[in-house]
Amino acid sequence: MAMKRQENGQNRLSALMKSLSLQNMAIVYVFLILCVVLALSSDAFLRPRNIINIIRQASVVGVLAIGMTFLLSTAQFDLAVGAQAGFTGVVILLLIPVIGFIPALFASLCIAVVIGLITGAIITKIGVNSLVTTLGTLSIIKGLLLVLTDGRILRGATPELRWFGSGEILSIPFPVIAFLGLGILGEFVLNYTRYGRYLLAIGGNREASKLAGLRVDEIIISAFVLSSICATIGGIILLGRIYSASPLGGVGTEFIAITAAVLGGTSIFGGEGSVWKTVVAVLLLQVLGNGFNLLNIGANYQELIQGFIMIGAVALYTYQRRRQ
Amino acid sequence: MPRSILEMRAITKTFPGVVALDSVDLEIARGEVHAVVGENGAGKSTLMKILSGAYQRDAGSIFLNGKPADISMPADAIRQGIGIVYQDLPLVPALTVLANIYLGREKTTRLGRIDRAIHLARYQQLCDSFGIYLAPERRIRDLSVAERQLVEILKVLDRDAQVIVMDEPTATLDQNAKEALFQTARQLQAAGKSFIFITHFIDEIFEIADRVTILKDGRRVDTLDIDKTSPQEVVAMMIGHSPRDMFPEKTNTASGKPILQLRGISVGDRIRDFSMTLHQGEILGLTGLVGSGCSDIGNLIIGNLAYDRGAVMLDGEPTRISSPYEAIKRGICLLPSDRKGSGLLLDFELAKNVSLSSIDKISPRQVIQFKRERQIAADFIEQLRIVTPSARQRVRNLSGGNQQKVVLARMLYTDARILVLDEPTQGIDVRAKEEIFLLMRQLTDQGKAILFISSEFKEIAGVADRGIVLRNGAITAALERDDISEARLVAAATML
Amino acid sequence: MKIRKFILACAILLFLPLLILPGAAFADDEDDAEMEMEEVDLSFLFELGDNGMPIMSPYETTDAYLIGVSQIGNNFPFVVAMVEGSDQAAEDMGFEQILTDAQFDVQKQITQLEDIIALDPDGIVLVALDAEAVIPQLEAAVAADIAVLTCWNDLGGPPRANYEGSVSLIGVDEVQTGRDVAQFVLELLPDGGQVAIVEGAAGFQASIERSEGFVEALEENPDIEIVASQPGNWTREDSLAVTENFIQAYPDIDLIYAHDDNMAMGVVSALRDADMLDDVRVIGIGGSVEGLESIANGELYGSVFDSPRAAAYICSKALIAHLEGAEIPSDIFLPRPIVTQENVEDFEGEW
Repeated sequence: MAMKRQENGQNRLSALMKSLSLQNMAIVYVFLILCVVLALSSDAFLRPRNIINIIRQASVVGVLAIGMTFLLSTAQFDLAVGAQAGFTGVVILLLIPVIGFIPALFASLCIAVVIGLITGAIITKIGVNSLVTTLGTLSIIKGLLLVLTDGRILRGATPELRWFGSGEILSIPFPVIAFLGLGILGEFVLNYTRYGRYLLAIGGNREASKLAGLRVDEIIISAFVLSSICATIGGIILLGRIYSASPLGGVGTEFIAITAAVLGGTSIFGGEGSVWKTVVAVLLLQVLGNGFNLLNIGANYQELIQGFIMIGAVALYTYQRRRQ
Repeated sequence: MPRSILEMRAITKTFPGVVALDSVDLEIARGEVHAVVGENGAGKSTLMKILSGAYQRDAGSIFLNGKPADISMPADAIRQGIGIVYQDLPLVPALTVLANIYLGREKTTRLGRIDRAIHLARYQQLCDSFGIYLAPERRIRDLSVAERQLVEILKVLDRDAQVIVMDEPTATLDQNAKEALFQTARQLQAAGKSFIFITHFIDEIFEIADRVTILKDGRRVDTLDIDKTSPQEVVAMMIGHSPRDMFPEKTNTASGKPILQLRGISVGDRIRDFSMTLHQGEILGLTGLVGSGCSDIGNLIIGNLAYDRGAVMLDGEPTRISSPYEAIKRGICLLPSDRKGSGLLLDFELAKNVSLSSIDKISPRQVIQFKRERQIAADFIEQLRIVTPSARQRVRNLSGGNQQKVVLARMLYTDARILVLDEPTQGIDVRAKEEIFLLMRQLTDQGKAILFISSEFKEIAGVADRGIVLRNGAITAALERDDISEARLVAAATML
Repeated sequence: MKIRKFILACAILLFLPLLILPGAAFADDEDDAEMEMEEVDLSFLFELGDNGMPIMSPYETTDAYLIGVSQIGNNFPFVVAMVEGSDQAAEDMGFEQILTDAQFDVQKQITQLEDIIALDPDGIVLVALDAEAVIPQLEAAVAADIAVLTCWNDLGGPPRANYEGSVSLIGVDEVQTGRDVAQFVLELLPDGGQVAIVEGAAGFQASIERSEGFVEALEENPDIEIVASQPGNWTREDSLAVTENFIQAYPDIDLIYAHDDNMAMGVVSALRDADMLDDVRVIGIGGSVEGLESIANGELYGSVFDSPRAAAYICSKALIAHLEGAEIPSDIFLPRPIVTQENVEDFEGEW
């Protein structure tokens, strides 16, 4: 009995060691190192206001990246989420004068569900791959943006909207709550619930999951809907922050979202996903940007440094994994 | 007997737990077509892989033209005149015949450009000397399977192959293409080239081969002149008299009530008018050569393959099952033949693989109870004697037999009453096979019904209560419990 | 004829002070661009309104020309306004127009130019996406006896100068604009102070030049310190974030110069959220609709006004004038007056 307990304790210790290993936690360590470096080189970095700023700045990409982590877990991705975030702003600004504030928000979420359903259905039921499908939806949404805005920046945001960008609950800004809240919820759903298990299983081996009795198509479609809703939430925060909607808004953000998810260790081939590490990776990228600003590093060097840090982080855990 | 060009003497090769080749001799004469036959796992592929340099022999020696040959990697084999025509034909579809033949060995002009003229001249000479013709500018993707095979043959001829090894060359060919291939072989034979033909089709040997070597369980049974033997004798030698003791006793003596019936099922040209009845408490064997359509039957039962015509009845009621999800809901479960490709989540923990089909059992209110999941896996590890350090081991790191047991554990955890097992013993060691057969019998004794699909005739004969044989998608024999024997199964599957 | 010339001369004399207002107040003798403007008579192309911006008026012609306009990307509001100017010119002067949209894809612009040349127009207004990539097409057009006029973005060779073969370069002098803004800043901060720049994006010529003139002019004054210069990547989101970070690092900042009004709006948002709009003055470039509105509301302090509509109109007009035989100066830099709350009513935003 005593032996067994000891064994258990050892098992737990080795499990803990393993979960803290470089392979699993590379991105977290890189993030922490970067934070220490910045804290030492700039007084402003550790100020609560600055930290809140960083999280708030990261929130739009962050929410998109959380949705993308779900999709990547099933070995799918969506290149249209960035444009969709911009599209959300345009839809809301156009609808507010017609149907009012709350109905406009509701309508934008309904549109998100429809976009997710259609994208997912094309990919699963017709069998077009997600690269082609979402490049197509990206183009359609960009086109719609141009048609709806006539190529101009749309204004006419109501003051309520600003709350989504800078409103506070218990002196924490809404974008921070939305981002971190969705991060915690997402991590829980992906790794602790039946639905999350289904997503990861399908990403791990779609055929095996199907033969094991999972409703693969329906689950993949649902992941597209979730990601689409995340894109819309991101779009609402974006609208609340910049208070206007441009025909170019959000376009390109999807790549940062995918980058962050991959940096966080989510495999683009599916089967593995960690929302909380995606959140850390988004924060890493944002902290890097914050550091550039605080230390006034020239624009020409920024991409260079960012590239080195990104490859470094991924190389670290890939190398560790290969050595195993 | 003409002087031999290739001699393999006392070749032995062991893999962990298995003796794949046990002191096998093979001697090929110049200008001879030599067939090598044997059941799955008899050692044919291993022998050829040793000849091609893909595997290293543990013991034995190889002589080429009477001189010892050192073959330690594929390049050595090619250099010494051994040409392998692969089954999966590794050609580049977008390139021409000419470009494929000289791929990686291009002659260039002084300016570094590929010298097409030299290639073309050599190609013409090659074709002329063997009386073969294939337009050099055609692209591989426009060629038929038979023509692609010809390209492969030309490729090895260009490298001056003396012995050409063809692994199952006729499996994907129609009658005309087969004739053409044999014709080519005869022409090359006349030019002094030797062939090793590996095949499952006994009748073909008698059309083309001069001699046949029969392998069984990693040993050479005999080498016979084709004129002095018969198909029946070859089949008998292939089967031999295998020890029966690896199979559990067939305790089931009378059929229970019919539980799953298929009536007149057709799927395009792949399955034609297929009918069967599976009874409670029995193991029904379904067998045929690879590609005969057995796996299709398994897939259509669980709703993973749509059928055009026919009816399926479950407990006597007409039913249409259109997805594996529905099949599992109704108590039907499949163990897929491609264990790694469609059976397992290789990078998932063992416990997660076991629970996959029945996660709802361990996640009341959606949240997964990890402790319970691992406990259930631990129970199965004990029950099925799965060898693993823990329930959290990734299944990728388990041996084939243990992986298969993980899939079985998943099926058992669904409480399915109909189990469709497609090649459950493929690539697993003898001990694990025995355990799986025993488990199958235990399950049917508990009242479950098993459809056992296998291309191992011996196993079907040893395990199944009744057997059905398919060839090219049609039933060629349905054997009841007293008739089922390996010889009859092999005959029905391999001979018209 | 003589009377007309006389009226034009009077007009120029009248409006010249307005035209060079920003520079004239802090006379800069070595300024080439201004010298040129003073010397060359551009009245046949445009006359200046009360606000110092060109007034659009058609060039008299009876011929119906075919003009190609190669645009860079219609999903950018500034370009949309330019297209409106081109359309207006086509209507006013009765020429047929072939308009192409490169969608910010250099390859696309090249093929579109080739398509235009194949239609054998009389002239092409070229808004180049890349300074070098389209030069072969320019040469092909010239060889085919098609007049090409470079609009807004300059082609290869020395910066801010017309490329050989092109009728003229009509655009703006970004370096000079930077200097003008710097002079304005010196006036705003007579006792010195801290200034930060929100740049466009790395690798953009406009971004480099807008900083170049600005930094160069401010460096002469030791009391003014440029504390930071960071890219806002031409987007409001990034400028917002950059400004939030500036506020943390440099809480005593006095003025932020953004390389365009869109980014300036991001800067304003960040300052508003931090309740610092009263302490920090923001200056943008471009005079966007939103920017002008913000100036009127007292949030954005000032901006440099551009009229993309007039610019495109003038380019088409100059091309027609050239086809009609008029002599077009090699480089024409359009006026860019500074807008503040005092004169904001005189301007109407176009993008």
